[in-house]
Amino acid sequence: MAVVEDGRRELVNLIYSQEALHRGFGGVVPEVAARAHLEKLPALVTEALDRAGVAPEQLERVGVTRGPGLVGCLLIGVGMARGLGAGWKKPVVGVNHLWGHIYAALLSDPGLEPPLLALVVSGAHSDLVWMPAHGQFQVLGRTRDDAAGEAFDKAARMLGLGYPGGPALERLAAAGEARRRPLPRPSLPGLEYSFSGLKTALLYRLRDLGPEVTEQDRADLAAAFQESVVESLLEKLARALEQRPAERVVVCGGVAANGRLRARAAEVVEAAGARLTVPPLVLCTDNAAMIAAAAHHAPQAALEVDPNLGW
Amino acid sequence: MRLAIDTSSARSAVAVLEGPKVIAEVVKPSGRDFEVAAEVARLLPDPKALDSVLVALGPGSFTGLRQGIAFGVGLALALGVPLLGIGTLELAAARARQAALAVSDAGRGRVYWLAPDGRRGVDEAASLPTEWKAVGWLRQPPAEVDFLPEPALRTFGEAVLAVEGKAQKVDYATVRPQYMEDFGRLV
Repeated sequence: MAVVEDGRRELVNLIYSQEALHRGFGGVVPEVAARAHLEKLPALVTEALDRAGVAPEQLERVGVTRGPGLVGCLLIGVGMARGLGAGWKKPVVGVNHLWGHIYAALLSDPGLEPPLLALVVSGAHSDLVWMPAHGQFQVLGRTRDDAAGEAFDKAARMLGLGYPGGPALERLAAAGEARRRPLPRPSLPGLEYSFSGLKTALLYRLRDLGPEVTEQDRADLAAAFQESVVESLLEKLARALEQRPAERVVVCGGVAANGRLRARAAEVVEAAGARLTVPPLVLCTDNAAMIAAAAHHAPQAALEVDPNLGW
Repeated sequence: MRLAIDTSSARSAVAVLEGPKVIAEVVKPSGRDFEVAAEVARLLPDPKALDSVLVALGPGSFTGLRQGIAFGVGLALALGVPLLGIGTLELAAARARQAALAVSDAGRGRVYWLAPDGRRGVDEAASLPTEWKAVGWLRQPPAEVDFLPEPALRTFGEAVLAVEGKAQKVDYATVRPQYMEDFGRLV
């Protein structure tokens, strides 16, 4: 739950993380998630307005994620937003969650405006997106199989790390050396990604090492895995920049919290002569401020829950 | 003024009540064509006139139940008015002017039921108690169940008037929709 001014300035951005609720299951349990949304949202609404010092009458509109996502959760969010909108007499605007990730960059960089090229990397997406203007998104490339975040989660599980896997894998990788146990770099033609082969390669390396695997091996493999994912993501980003020269580039989504990706993206984008914006960590992972920012710029359209929505 | 919302079963209903009267109500088949926000906007041009919001808590369909309850919570929260909850079957039973077996779809051919003697469960239509005639909105009313004729029943709004005294005030953050696993014996 967040309050954002003019689509640019974050007044309050509250996050209730369900991580602890789902940790024991190794992933998000849809039913548990939906129940928690229904129970946590009301207090967050009140707290967000209180902390922002904003009265409901001052709101311009209520923005809500309409998809993609778990349908039970989306129904709770959209239902509650509609109730709030009805009570406050404010329009309710449905926003594509993926748009939100790009708008997170606009929140963190006041000078940033489209046209821009974005790499959106999350648990469910690895998309290269051209954004010519507000509310317009053209997907140039996406993953054929796993998303980058999903690949990190699965690799983390193979390495015996907990959930969520991304941060755990990054911590382990910091103690490793990618060159010692290199993994293949996925390479598909064009701007498409694929991470399933890399995942399998990791599985086989671990199998080959067997019970003799040392902590150093695991750290080296984590580093190699991270290296391959990051370099693959950026190789295509650089190629996209050649095809569609943009002055501004955004790398966003939950996986953009990865330090290696942030550091290497800065080098790659600078080498291409463009300027990079990566949102701060709290705006990379899912949050409501990015949805509010996107809602400010979004056209008011029929609001329907759509779990399978692409861009 | 009071608003009542039931989106838990085969039909969805919204009613606006004032004092002992039903001011407006609508009952439609549940599904894509029933949008609770739109129906409320139509029946109630000024939600700020509301003193309370009552929602049916189920048991019932996953999708509909969530939409109605989340909307009710949001509306009550926005207006700062009490949120009341009542069971779907208690609401259905109140439509009958006599003792009746309240029923609601439980999926896969089974129904949730509530008997006037307080027993409740979820069963195949053929195994329901037969001492009473039935009341409730089912997608495909089974032949084995003897329903009270619709004209003999109270409207949704009238049923709310009859039973709202039994509704529980619920904290905005503790609303629990009732799904199958919460309800009587498990199947």
